[in-house]
Amino acid sequence: MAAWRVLLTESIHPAGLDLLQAECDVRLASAMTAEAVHAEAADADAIVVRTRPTITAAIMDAAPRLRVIGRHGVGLDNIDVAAAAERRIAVVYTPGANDQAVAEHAIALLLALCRKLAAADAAVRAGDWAWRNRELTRELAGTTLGVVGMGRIGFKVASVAHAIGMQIIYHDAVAVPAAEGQLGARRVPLETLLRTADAVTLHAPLLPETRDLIGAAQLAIMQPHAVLINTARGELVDTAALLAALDAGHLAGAGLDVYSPEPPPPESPLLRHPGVLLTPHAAALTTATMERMGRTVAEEVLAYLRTGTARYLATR
Amino acid sequence: MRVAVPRGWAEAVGIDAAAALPGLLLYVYDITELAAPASALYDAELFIPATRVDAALLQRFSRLRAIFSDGTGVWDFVDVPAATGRRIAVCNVRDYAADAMAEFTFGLILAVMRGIAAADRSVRAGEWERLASRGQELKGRTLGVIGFGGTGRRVAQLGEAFGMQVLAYTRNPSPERFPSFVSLHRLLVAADVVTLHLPLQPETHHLLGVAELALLKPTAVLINTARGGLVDQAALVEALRSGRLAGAGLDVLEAEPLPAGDALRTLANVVLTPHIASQSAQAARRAVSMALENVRAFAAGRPQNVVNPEVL
Repeated sequence: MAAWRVLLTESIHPAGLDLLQAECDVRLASAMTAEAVHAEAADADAIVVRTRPTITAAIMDAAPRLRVIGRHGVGLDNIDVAAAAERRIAVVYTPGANDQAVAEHAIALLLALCRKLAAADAAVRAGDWAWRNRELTRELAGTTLGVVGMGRIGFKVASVAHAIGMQIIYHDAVAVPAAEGQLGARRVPLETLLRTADAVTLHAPLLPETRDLIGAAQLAIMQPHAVLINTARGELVDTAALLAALDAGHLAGAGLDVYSPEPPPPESPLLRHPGVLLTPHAAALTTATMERMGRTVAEEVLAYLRTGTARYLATR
Repeated sequence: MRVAVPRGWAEAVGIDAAAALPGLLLYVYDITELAAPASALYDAELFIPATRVDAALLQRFSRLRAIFSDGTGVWDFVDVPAATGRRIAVCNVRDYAADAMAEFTFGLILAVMRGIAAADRSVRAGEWERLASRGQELKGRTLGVIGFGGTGRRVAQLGEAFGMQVLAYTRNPSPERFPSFVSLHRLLVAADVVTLHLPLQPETHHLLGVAELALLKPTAVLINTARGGLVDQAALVEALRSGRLAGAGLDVLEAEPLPAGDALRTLANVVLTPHIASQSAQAARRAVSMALENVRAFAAGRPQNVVNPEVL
């Protein structure tokens, strides 16, 4: 029997690649674009995708042998899950695999932004030691962190923030007793959170109802010294409104790991704005997490191909 | 008693110096007066300095009894032996910045482990490099805390909150069960992140020299927010350049400001900050507040936080 054919849209950790190559004919797409994947998926039994491109119904229809899509990661917004279900194509993913890495990255952005580490580093390298006399930064201890989405990642971020001495308030569709009991977190309406918090961190999934969750009206009520951290999805924030709000002094800064569009185009004012800290969708990109995601997605894809089921099915 | 206070020093953090020093004659001085050989400034018994206090400056004061710093490491800014020789007390403030320093320490640790500053530069340059090898997690890694005063203690607590194994080295280990107190050698060999939190004194100069740096894992990261002189900087640069150390976060250096052309500027795996770890708005306010409290206590005959108590 011919080996299964797996198309990767992007390279994955050897831990996963080795598992796939042991049983499959594995190919890497020539580019991370819809066009390339569309053209190259013709004989694929499985596609493994990270954050790009979006796996559309059109791509699925160009892959008649496709049985399973493996999402290396957690967000499902770049897969037309409904179309996959209609076509009896399974979607497997790696829930929880990047919780720790993303939570640590959110804290990294929060600390780096509040203490102006990137700007300070740039000043020292440029010979501007006097920068230290012009800039005074703020401690986090004693201030309030607003967590939008108290899922696993939000909870980890809140736990560290609590240890740092921050008060935790959160907004979520459901109450999270563990956060309230262990961290003293208070559940509040989104508007209250935005009005009160000294720092806001987004940990909500991208769903139709969360698109542009943070727009002009939301940014306008934030504390002028507050910062916004986004390691979730770029589409949760109206980028143009964010730039305008920063310029108007509605908030003091933003730490962004995700963008809309992504990557941000070279002409985007974000790339020149002094009030933002930018990382390239790298929150999950630690050696340990890449190994875990690579291995898990490979295991899930192989399990489905072999047995018709898997542990982490996003579809039924 | 007359107390000389630098203009704007207390106001900068929202404190009214006059209101904070009832019963004392307040003399507000401008820094330019320090260059003048004669000034009413030099009649003060109590002095809050704004610049280095050397023996020559001390000579100009006719009745100085105490100097009040708004920092902890006074020995770098006040000629303490000269003051002691003239029976002038030198007071410092302690532990006002434990939170600011501990947070900054972790800010540097994460910035180095996740390449934050380099990533920001890269994205701004229009690049979109998502190199997996750049990021390392803290959870499960070993944190080595050298020096266990107020800041070291706080850093250890935060390390635990991040899920790290915490080892500590101090000359005076307490009987607490956390963290694990070990020898310096053991700490350097075992740690993934080493962070310094102790004062610079003759016996701690180059605490981390060539031999000590050689003990570190090649994947380890060194963080220094304490004093540059604790580390042999030339040896550190060589270790970073040759790949025998993965990265460093340095808020303090042997020579500050960083000299032009210094090799550190060229290293990509280093985050450099200009001696600002204790400089949060909240810590600045606490430092001024505590210095004023030291003035009040001294004036009331209850000197506190005196670094040279032999003069009392």
